[in-house]
Amino acid sequence: MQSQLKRGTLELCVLSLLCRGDRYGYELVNLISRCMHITEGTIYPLMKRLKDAGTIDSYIVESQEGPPRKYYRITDDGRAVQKEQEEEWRSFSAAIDRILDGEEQI
Amino acid sequence: MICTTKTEFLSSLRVALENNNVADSRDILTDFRQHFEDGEVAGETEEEVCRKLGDIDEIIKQYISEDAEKKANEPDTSGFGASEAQAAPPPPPQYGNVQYASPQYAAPKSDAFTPSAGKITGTIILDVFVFSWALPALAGIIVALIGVAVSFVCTGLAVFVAGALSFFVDLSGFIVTGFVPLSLVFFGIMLTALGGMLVIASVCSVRGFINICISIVNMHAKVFTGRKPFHKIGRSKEVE
Repeated sequence: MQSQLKRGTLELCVLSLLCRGDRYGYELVNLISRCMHITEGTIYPLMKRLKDAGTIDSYIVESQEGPPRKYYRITDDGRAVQKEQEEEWRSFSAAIDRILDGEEQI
Repeated sequence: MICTTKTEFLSSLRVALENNNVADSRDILTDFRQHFEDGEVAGETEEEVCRKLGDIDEIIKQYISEDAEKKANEPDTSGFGASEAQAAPPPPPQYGNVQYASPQYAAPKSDAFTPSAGKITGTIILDVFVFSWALPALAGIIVALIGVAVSFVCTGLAVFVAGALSFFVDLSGFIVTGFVPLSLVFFGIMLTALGGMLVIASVCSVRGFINICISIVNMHAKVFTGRKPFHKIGRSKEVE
């Protein structure tokens, strides 16, 4: 159950983080891991799916030493998707809260 | 399967990607290799990174389901009733912006890689210098070095053997120098040792020369396609 929930919302997490700035894979994983436990390897399939769907984009940044690093950036489509999902999530979690708090009759 | 080292993880992942025909496996491997490198910079051990990345089968499963999803969605691009098409319009045909395997892929329109005219001109000017002068000169020096090394070793051995033999056999017909046998032996050893050092120097130079060539090839590839196809000798080569 828990992992199902996470899988569904990980996309929203990634999109929301990218709304606030471009990130590279390891950085994204760490930001999310700080808040919740995830199987880190699953972030990359997700990034690929988002990219194929056109919600995010990637570009390479050269570094002086070491290989170039891949950064992810949100697209305009992605921003729209993020907004939609955020609203969905907020109303969903508000509904659950009401039930958990016993306020379903009000 | 659970891995404990970067090499093990990446090679298992590669095998699994290939066995399952996952698209863009090269890009995927690059992503994970980069992840390990970033982890290393952040002070994590390879084992920690592996543990956090989790089960390879699980990762593969996600890539497979994603590929299947993509295929299922493809026929729908004509328009009607695509389950997700309303939420996210189908992407333009740019699977993997970052995959510029060949120059044609570097379509100038997307913000994928675009070769820059300045860099190309620079490379050509550099090439004139590199190929007409620098590379042949370097190759000449290295060949000469190898020659000198070999002759030192051979001469040294010959002098050594002659010195040793002259204890037992009368070699005065062959040897014209006035050396005493014992000093001949030591002289031989000295020459051989010098030759040995030169051989080591030659091996290092050849290695360096090959790496220079690889760098040149990589530089050209990078100017035109944005990626470096080869790893240098003695660098991480677990995945190509």
